Amino acid sequence: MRARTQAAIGAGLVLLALLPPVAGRLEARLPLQVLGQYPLLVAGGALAGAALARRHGRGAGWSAAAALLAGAAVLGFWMIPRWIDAAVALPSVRTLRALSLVLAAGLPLGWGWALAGPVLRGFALANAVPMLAVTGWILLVVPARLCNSFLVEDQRLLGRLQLALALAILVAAVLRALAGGPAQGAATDRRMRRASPPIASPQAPRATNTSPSGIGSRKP
Amino acid sequence: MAEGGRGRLAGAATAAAAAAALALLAGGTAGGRAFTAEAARRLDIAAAPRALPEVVLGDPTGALVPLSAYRGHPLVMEFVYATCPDLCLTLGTAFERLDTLLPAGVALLSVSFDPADDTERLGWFADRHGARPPRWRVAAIADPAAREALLARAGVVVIPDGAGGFVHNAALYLVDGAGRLVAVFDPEDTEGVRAALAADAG
Amino acid sequence: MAEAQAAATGGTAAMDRGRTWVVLYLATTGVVILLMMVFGLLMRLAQSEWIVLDPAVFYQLLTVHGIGMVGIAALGGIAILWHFLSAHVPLRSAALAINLVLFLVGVVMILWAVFIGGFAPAWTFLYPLPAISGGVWEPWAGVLDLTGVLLIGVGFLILCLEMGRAIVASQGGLGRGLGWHVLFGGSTDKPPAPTVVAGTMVVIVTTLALVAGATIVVMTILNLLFPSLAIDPLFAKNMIYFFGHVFINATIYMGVAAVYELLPRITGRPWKASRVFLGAWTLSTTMVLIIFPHHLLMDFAMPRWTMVLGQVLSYVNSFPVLAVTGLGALAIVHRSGIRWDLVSTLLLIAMFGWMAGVIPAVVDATVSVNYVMHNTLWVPGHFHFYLLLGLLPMIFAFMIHLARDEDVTARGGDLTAILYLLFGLGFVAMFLMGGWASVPRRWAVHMPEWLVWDRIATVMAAGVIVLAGVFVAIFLARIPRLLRHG
Repeated sequence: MRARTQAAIGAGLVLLALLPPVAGRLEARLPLQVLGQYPLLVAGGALAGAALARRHGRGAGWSAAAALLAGAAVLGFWMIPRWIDAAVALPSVRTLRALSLVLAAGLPLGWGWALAGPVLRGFALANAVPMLAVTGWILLVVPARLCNSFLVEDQRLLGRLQLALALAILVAAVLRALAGGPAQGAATDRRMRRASPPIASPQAPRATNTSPSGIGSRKP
Repeated sequence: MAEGGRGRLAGAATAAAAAAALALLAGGTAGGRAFTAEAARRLDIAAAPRALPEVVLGDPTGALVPLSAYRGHPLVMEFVYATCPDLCLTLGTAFERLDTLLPAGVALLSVSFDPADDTERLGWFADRHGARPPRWRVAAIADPAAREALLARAGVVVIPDGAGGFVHNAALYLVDGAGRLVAVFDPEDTEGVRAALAADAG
Repeated sequence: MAEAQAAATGGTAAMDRGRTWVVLYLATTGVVILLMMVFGLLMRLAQSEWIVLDPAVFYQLLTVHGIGMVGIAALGGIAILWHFLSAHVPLRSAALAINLVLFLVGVVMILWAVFIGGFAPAWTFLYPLPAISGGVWEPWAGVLDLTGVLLIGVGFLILCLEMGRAIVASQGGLGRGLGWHVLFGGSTDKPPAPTVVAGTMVVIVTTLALVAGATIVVMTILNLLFPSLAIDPLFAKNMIYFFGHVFINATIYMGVAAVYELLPRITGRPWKASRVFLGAWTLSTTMVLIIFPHHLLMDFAMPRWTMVLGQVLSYVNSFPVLAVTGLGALAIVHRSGIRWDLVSTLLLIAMFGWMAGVIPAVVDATVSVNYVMHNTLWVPGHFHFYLLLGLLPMIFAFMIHLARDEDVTARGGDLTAILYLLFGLGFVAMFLMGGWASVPRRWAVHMPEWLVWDRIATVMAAGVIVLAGVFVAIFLARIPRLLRHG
């Protein structure tokens, strides 16, 4: 039920991003395209991926890291200036991009994120932040206009926005860790204290896999 | 035990994903050589020269010359618009340098991509840089379809700059005697053009 | 990543494996510390004109000594923190294994870059030095070195994430790990153990430092490969010192777990986290993140307010944790009937080294002094004080503690600890006196009038190495037994 709602919202986001008047506006400017349309498509796929993981992800924790990596690579591919230009020039590439951002980036990212434990999630974020910042910095300092289809002002603006986004993600992640996430924090905490057997929960598969029987065995 | 198996499975899956990611990104950038469409275009043209379509060039004197008339000799082309305040000045200056640098057999051709460039405006550009046909012709293409076909073939991308002008991927284009586009150079790289022509002749 | 699942082996086996890894960490730490100390001695010998060293080699040694000591301080510090933290929160030792592998691969890359590639811009790889070598090294050496640094950073990041995960899972958030529910919420819940508080602080500041460090390292690598991607030098310096300052600072906050855990066991008096204690740690957590501009006091292009911040906060940064730890330690020891031996004396020396080491640091963080002294030997004097007399005694005390099968009965040996203190003080004092006399730092060749400090320092360094060798040897000799007992 909840998974179905989630998938429906995801489909809505994808439709919104591809609706001709919206898509036209978003694709007209580089920052809107990369930080507007891309996230809508990826989030749409990710919601479906997370819903899938909730239903069928039992025992599939092993795929989390691979899924996150693959999704990030596909997303990264569509941030390469060459392919941004190609999508502007060729409708077929534009279609392929929309499909792959939903299915090959968003879906695995949502699947992997849902199955990932806190360490893997933290690792993914700790990689995403420098990646966003470094590519943003490149857009700011490279002397050349990287995309033939967009103005250099757009390129610089995207660079600044990426730096801001990187900082925002970092701050949000730290605040969340300080507060303790509801999924990882309280839930696993209780489970650990009760030393219950592993429960297959996509939210915290690794925490539940950890048997706590050894806690305190080293106390003097 | 099962955990160890899952760990190995995760490791193998991650390694496979990493390999696939690397292949995707390497493939998408020609092995790190082409992050931009500009770099990709140059690699592609150098590897597979492109035959340019036929167009009719109109110069400031009103003369109409087909592009195929240039066959038989090397030709250096650039794509400009007459009211351009910046990049085309660089291109024009580069052509002035090439004008003095290149041997007599090589022709220079500045092609306007701006439909609004009439003979008068082409004349401004020609006069500013001292362009005189037949050595250096400044020309426009009247037929929109032919113009678009030539720009697309050469990989010229022109977008409005939001202030009434254009932004375009400025470059110097080397066309061989068979009418094929064989190399693309940076606007300032007149030395590269000269060297390529010398290597060809030698 | 794969550690996720590989780490999922729970229970006693995991705890025992953690202990094996801690022993391996300490063994690596001991061996590398001695090697790096010998490199330091070689540099002092060369400055004393007792041996002849090609200046190019001097700068290679300087680079390796710097990055090696920073890395090994973190490795030893983590071993202490992990050992004691894992008794409070369940940790998965796969992270230790991954980190050690990445660390060793990174070390090989750095050594290759420095001794084969000739890379020698000091460990701070301050932009644009890696790129502008005057032909001494090729760009590939810089790329290799920085990639090694990056790998080591990734390893420590995974460790921090695992510790953070465990703290969040068991305490319900890093905020509770710092005891905020007691400090701000007036909760009557049990406050976190001092080691958990220290571990939480380390997780927060080190993770942020590593993210910043990874960013600037990747930027520097890209700049080496594509010189047209120019870095703003002032931005680079800020990033590097944010990373470097926080990272090296964090090592002592890792090591202090030994004080919190061992002194109570030795004296039989518990160390409880009071509200003052928690407040002090929260203050230091915040301030250690924002005082790094005191490294940039000479950069007139920096905004004035950052300088003011750097100076003011440097004065107060260390004091909270230092005060609660120092006073706490004294309170525990006072009239406890403690019988001093090697472990407890080393711990006391560590407290002294940490507290007294603050003084030259604060002096250097004073703008008017900094203008004169910052590029003098005063600066190595200040950080050698911290590391040699603050952090290393913690690491040595922990080694001896493990070598004695974690039995805290007094067994003597305090005389070696006192000798270590004296040689260490003498060695550090020569740096500080050199700085006082405006002897520049990072010079391979010294003026004749500076030789007296150099030569005394050389003798003192030799003494320090011998004593450090004794501590490490005691530990290494017990390793087979430690590993057998698991």
